[in-house]
Amino acid sequence: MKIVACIKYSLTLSELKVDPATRELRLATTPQRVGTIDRNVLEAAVVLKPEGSTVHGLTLAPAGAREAFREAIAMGLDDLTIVDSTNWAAGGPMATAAVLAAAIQKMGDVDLVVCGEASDDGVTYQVPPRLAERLGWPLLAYARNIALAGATLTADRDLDIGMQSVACDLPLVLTVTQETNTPRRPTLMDAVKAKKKPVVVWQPEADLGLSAEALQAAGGVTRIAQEGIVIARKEQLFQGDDMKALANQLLDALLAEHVVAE
Amino acid sequence: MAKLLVYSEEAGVARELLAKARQVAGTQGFTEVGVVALGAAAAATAAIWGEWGADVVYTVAEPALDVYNPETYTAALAGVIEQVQPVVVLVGATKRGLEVNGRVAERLGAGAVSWCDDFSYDAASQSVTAKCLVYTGIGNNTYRINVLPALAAVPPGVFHEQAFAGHSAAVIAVPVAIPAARMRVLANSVKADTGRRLQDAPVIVDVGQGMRNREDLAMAEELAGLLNGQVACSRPISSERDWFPEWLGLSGLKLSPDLCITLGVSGSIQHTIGIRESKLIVAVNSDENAGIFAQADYGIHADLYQFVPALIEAIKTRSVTKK
Amino acid sequence: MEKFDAIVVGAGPAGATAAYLLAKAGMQVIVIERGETPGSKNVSGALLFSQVYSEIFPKFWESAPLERAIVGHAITFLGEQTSVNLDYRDLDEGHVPHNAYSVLRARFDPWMAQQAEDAGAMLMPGFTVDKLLQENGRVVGIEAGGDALMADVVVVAEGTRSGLLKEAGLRTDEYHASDVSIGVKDVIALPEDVITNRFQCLNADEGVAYTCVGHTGGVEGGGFLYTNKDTLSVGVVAKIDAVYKSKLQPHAILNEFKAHPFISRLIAGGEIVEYSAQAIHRGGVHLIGQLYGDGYVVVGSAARLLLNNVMTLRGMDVAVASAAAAAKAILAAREMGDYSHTALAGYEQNFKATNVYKDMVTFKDTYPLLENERLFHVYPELAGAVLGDMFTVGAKPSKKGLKALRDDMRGKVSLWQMLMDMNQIGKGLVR
Ligand SMILES: Cc1cc2nc3c(=O)[nH]c(=O)nc-3n(C[C@H](O)[C@H](O)[C@H](O)COP(=O)(O)OP(=O)(O)OC[C@H]3O[C@@H](n4cnc5c(N)ncnc54)[C@H](O)[C@@H]3O)c2cc1C
Ligand SMILES: Cc1cc2nc3c(=O)[nH]c(=O)nc-3n(C[C@H](O)[C@H](O)[C@H](O)COP(=O)(O)OP(=O)(O)OC[C@H]3O[C@@H](n4cnc5c(N)ncnc54)[C@H](O)[C@@H]3O)c2cc1C
Ligand SMILES: Nc1ncnc2c1ncn2[C@@H]1O[C@H](COP(=O)(O)O)[C@@H](O)[C@H]1O
Repeated sequence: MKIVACIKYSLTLSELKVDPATRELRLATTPQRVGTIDRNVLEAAVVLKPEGSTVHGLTLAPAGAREAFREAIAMGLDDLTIVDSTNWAAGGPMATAAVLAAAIQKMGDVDLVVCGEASDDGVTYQVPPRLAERLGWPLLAYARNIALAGATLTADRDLDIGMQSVACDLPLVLTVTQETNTPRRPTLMDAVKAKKKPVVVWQPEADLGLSAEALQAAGGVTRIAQEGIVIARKEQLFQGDDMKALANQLLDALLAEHVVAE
Repeated sequence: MAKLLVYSEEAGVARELLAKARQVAGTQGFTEVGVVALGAAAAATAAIWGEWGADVVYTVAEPALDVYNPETYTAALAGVIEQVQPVVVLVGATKRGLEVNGRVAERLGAGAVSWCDDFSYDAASQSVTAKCLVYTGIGNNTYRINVLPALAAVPPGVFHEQAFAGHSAAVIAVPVAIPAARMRVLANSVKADTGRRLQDAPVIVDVGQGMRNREDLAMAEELAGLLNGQVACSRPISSERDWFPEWLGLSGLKLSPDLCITLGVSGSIQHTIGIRESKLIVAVNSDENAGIFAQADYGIHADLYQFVPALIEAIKTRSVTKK
Repeated sequence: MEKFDAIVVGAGPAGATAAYLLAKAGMQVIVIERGETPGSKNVSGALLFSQVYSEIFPKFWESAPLERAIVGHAITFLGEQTSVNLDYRDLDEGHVPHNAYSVLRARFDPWMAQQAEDAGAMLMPGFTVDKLLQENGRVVGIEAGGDALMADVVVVAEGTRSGLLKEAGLRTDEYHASDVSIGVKDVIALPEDVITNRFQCLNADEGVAYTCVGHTGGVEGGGFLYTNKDTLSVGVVAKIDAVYKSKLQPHAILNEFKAHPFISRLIAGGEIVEYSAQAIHRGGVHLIGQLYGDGYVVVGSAARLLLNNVMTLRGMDVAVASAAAAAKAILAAREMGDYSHTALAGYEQNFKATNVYKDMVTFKDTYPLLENERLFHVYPELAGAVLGDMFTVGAKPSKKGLKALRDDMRGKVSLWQMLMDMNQIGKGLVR
C-alpha cells in the first residue's frame, strides 16, 4: 500500500507581525517551517501504514527549503517529493490542488492521501476537498480514531455539531486535525537514518506538464489588496504574590473602565 | 439577471447570510436572493425562508439528503448552482460548509474564497470583490473573483440574522440526481444543545486548558454568575475534553461582550480571533510570557486556582456587579 | 550501532570549522546542534574579524551572509550626560576583505554549517547531546535523547556553558564566578538608509562599531553598538559577580546603557526585534581550559578561548583558529590510527603557533584592567568633565587642561591612583 502525506512549508504565524504604521504584513521576515498540523498528518500516515507499505511526503514548496523537511522525513517518511515552487507563478488553493493531484498521479498506485484539515498559514480548508475532487476520490475530513482494516478505513469525523462515524474504501483523501493524535518526536537515530532517504525535486511545468498561467486564469481569484489588522489593547500586567491585592487592583481597573459597578 | 444564492446546512448560519444578502440585494443589483434547502424534511418546510429574506427557496427533496454526507451534499449544491446560475454563492464556513465549498468549487470550476466577511458584486465588470480574513485573522485580503459564480465561505457570526416580516419566498424543486456516496455514514452523535446564547452575554468567562478538571468549572461558573455572564471555552476544552458543545475562535464562535475574562488560555490567534471584538479583555495566566497578555487590556500573572477564588471573594465583599 | 569517524558537539563557529576541515579531509563527520537551526540559540555581538576566517574559508566575504563591513571603530567613554569618543575610520574603500564585518549569528552560523555540509559532514540540528560516553577512561561517543553514537574522536564545541566534560568527570580545571561575564543584547530594527546616514556611512555595505565604557548601572562592564544592514546590535557585557552584587537584572543594565543620551540618539526610532542573554568567559591566556584528552578535543569557548582587550572582543575568530588547530591534530592522529591524549597533544602545539594565541599572550595584562572599578565609574565621567571644562565658554574664567583635570578629580580619584591606573592601561594596551 502506498500512502502520501501532503505537508506544507508554512509561515510561523505566531511570529507574523503587522507594521503598526503602514499596516503592512511583515511576511518577508516571518520564519517558515513545516507546519504544526503537518506533524499530525505525518503521525497519522505513519501510524496507519500497514506492514510492507510505504509513506511518501509530498509538498509544493521552494526546493531551497528542503532542509526544513528533515524532521518530517525523520518522523517516518520513506522519501519526500518537493514540487518546486521557486519559479511557479500560480498561487491559491486551486493551483496547489492541481499540482498535488498531478504529482500523486505521477507517483502512481497511491491508495491513501493524508492532509491537514487546514494548513497553518493558508487555512483555506480548500486544498483537500479540491484534491479529492481532482482525483475523483472521496474525502474523509476531520478524522479521529482512524482505523484501517484491509482496504476499508473507518473513523470518527469531528464536526462542529458532534461526531460522525464513517467507513470508506480506499483510495481516498483523509484530513486530520490537531486533536487526531500526538505527533512523535523523532530521535537522533531516526534523523540519522532520514539523511539517507531520497528527496526528489520535480518542476511543475517540466515534470508535471502544468501551466502556471492557465491555472492562475482558471482559478479566477486575484488578490488586489492586503492589510494587517492592528488591535491595540492596554496590555497592563498585574503581578505579585498577594492575590487579594491583585483582585482588588483588577476590580479598581474594571470600575474605572465602567464595565462593572460597585 | 444577477442571482445570489445562500447555502448552509446550519439553519442559523443560513439566516445570517440571508440577512446580509437581503440588505445588499438592492444596492448591488441582485435580482434574486435564493437559499438552498436540502433533504425531504427541509423541502417540506421550505416556505419559512421567505421571512428570513429569501425570494426563492431551491429544494432538492431527496430523502438521501436527510442525513448529512459531504458527497451527496456536494452533488446537490453543485447541481442547484448549475441550474440556478447565481453570480455569488454565500456558504456558511462551518466545518461541513467548508468541505462542501471546496469540492463544489473544484467541480464547477468556480472561484472560491474562505473566511469572507464582506463582498460586493459589480455587474459592469462581471466580477466579485471579497474581503477575507487571512493568516487566521492577522490580516485582510481583498480578492477580485472573475470566474463566476464566486463561492464565498463566510464564518458564522459575521452577519446577524434579521426577520423580514411579510416577505415571502417561492419554492422551486430542483431535479438533481444524487449518486450513492462512497463514504458511508455509520452513526451521528450530536452534542447536546445547551440552549445557551453566548452572543447575548455581557460578560464571558473564557476557559482554556489551564483549567485542569471539569469540577473546577464551578469556579468559572460562580465568577460568571456574579457578573451576569456565561462561561465559554477554547477549542481543546470542547473538542478534546467535551466540557462544552461550542468553543470560541476561528472555527468556533466570535463574541463581542463588554468584558471577557480568560482563565488559562494561551492566546493562540486561532482562539483570540473569537474574543478580540470584546470591549475589554482580562487575562489570567501563570506563564509570564503567555501570548495572551499582549492581546489583553489587563493581564494577571497568577495561578488561576489562587487568583479566581480571591477575585470571587473581592467581588462579594465589595458587592461589585454587572448592570 | 552507528559509528562515525568524528562527532562534533555544537555548530557554532568552532564546531562548524572543525566539521568542515575534517569532512573535507574525507572523515565521516556528524555535527549535533541543540538549536533548531545553527545560530538560533546564539548570542553574540557580532563582529567577525576576517583574518582567521579568510585563511580557513577563502573569499568567505563573497558568499557569507555578512551585514556591513566595519570601516569605523570607536571607543566611547560615557559620563552621566557626556560622551568622549575616540573615533577611528579606515576610509580606504578599496581593500577587501575588510578588517571586520558585522554578522547576525542566526544567519551566519547556518552558512558556516552549510560549508561543513557541503564538504560532506552530516548536520543534525534540534538535538542536544546529553553526555559523553566513555570506555576505560576514554571518550568513545555521545548520547542524545537516549540514542548512542560512537566515534573515534569527539570534538566538544558546545560553547561557554559547556557542561559535558564536567558531567563526564573530565573537567579538571575549575574557574571562578569572577571569570564569567554575562552578555545581554537587543537587536533593534531601523531602516537601512537611516542607519547608513546616522552613522555617516557611504552606503549600506559600510558600518561602524562602538565600544563603550561607563554608564552600565555602576557595574563593571562594557557596552557595544554595532551596525547591521537594517538592525543595530546593542549590548552590554558585565561581570557576573558585579551584576549579582548590584542586584540589577541584566536587562536593566542594558536599558540604562541604552538610555544614555549618546546611545539613545543612535537607536532613536528603532524597534526591538530580539532580546537575548548569554554567559561569556572573560577570556585571556591564563583562563584557557583543558584542550584535549583521550578521544576528545575541546575547541572554542567550550575551552574558554576568548580575547578581550577592551577595544575588541574576539571569540569567533579565536574559536575558528582553535578548531583549525584541533582538526589538524585529529587528521595527524588519524594517520597514526591513535586518538589518545598523546596523539592529540599536537592540538595544543598547533594552537600555540597561531597568531590568535600570540595575541592572547600580548594582551595578557589587559585583564587586571577589567577589574579596575575606576575605569568604569570614574574615568568616563572625568573625561567628559574635563573636556566639558575645556570646550565650554561660561560665566567662570576658563582653565587650562591640567587645572581642569585636578579640579574635576577632587573627591573622586587621587593623583597617585590615577598615575597607577595610567600605568596599568599602558601595560595592558600600549607597551
Ligand atoms: C485550523 C485550526 C483551527 C483552530 N481553531 C480554533 C478555534 O476556533 N478556537 C480555539 O480555541 N482554538 C482553535 N485552534 C487551536 C489553537 O491553535 C490552540 O491550540 C488552542 O486555542 C489552545 O487552547 P488553550 O489556550 O486553551 O490551551 P493551551 O495552549 O494549552 O494554553 C493553556 C494556558 O494555560 C496556562 N496555564 C496552565 N496552568 C495554569 C494555571 N494554573 N493558572 C493560570 N494559567 C495556567 C498556560 O500557561 C497556557 O498558557 C485551531 C487550530 C487549528 C490548527
Ligand atoms: C554578548 C556577546 C557579544 C559577543 N561579541 C563578539 C564579537 O563581537 N565578536 C566575536 O568574535 N565574538 C563575540 N562574542 C564571543 C563569541 O560569541 C563566542 O566566543 C563564539 O560564539 C564562540 O564560538 P563557539 O563555536 O566556541 O561557541 P558557540 O558559538 O557558543 O556555539 C556553541 C554551539 O553549541 C551548541 N550546543 C551547546 N550545548 C550543546 C549540546 N549539549 N548539544 C548540542 N549542541 C550544543 C549551541 O547551541 C551553539 O550553537 C560575544 C559573546 C557575547 C555573549
Ligand atoms: N503547498 C502545499 N504542499 C503540500 N500540501 C499542501 C500545500 N498546501 C496545502 N496542502 C495540504 O492541504 C491541507 C489544507 O491546506 P489549506 O487548504 O491551505 O488550508 C494542508 O494541511 C496540507 O495537507
